[in-house]
Amino acid sequence: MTASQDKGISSTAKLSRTAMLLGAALMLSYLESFVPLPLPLPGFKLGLANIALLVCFELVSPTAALFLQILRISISALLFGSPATFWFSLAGGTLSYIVVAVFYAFLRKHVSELGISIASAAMHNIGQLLAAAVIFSSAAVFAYLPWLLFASLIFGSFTGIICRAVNKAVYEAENRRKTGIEKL
Amino acid sequence: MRKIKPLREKPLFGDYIVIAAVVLAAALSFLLTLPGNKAGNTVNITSPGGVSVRSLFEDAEFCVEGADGIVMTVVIEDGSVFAADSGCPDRLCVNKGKIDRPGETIVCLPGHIIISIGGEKEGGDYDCVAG
Repeated sequence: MTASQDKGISSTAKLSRTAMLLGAALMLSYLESFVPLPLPLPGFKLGLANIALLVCFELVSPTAALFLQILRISISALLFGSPATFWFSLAGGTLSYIVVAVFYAFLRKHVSELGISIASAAMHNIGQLLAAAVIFSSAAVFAYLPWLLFASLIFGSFTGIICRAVNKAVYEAENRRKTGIEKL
Repeated sequence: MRKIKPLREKPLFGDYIVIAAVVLAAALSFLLTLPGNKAGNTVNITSPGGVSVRSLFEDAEFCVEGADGIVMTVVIEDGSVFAADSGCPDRLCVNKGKIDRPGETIVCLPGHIIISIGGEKEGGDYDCVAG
């Protein structure tokens, strides 16, 4: 996490990108609150808001992504959540932030958005189950683990593909802008 | 001048490892949490008031007090257990229906109540043991 991790953009650009991604993340959180998973445990989500987290890692910085994650979880709990869903998404969000941070710090060269997104979705679900296990003080909720992991494969691939498309579009726009400046 | 990263279109080597790891974890956890073939013999009720254990073979109907004033009516009948009624808003516990195998659960999230079937899985669970 040194200057080499700097994405070569100004601090204003970083700020505006992070703010825009936070807005997008909140919108996605709102959207997914309409799509309950067919599970006997309410509060589990598709993980669409993960798209914003991963894009923030790629296009801004891990620090910005940390702020984005914390703000997204607290604001969406205040706006459209309940105390129970706050603890679920805090546990899931923390674990998924940690796993994405590890991938970006050490393994980014070998893993694309797809793999990172799947790993992050899986950790998000495991975190939610841990929170449920603590709230119920019972390990019985882990009976849902296989289904949640299976779901994270599908939804993680989906969000990973969207992340890649977003990153690609931004890189191409930057390329166009730079070649345009060189022509002048 | 910032160097633009080349874009990788195909999944990388690490992606396959991640996918394989998740599939493996799902398969492992599935095998570990598989409900046993033998019928269970106890009903464990975990609620904010504590844990209680009842026999699965003594028919009973009783109330469990959960969080937020939610009361769940639980019925044990003919070796299976179900939530007959519940004061929670989503009533997923009632919709879950009857359970009777070890490891199966009825969960009421708003009321913080879990009903699970206990009972030893007997040795006959294994089809064969190699080695």
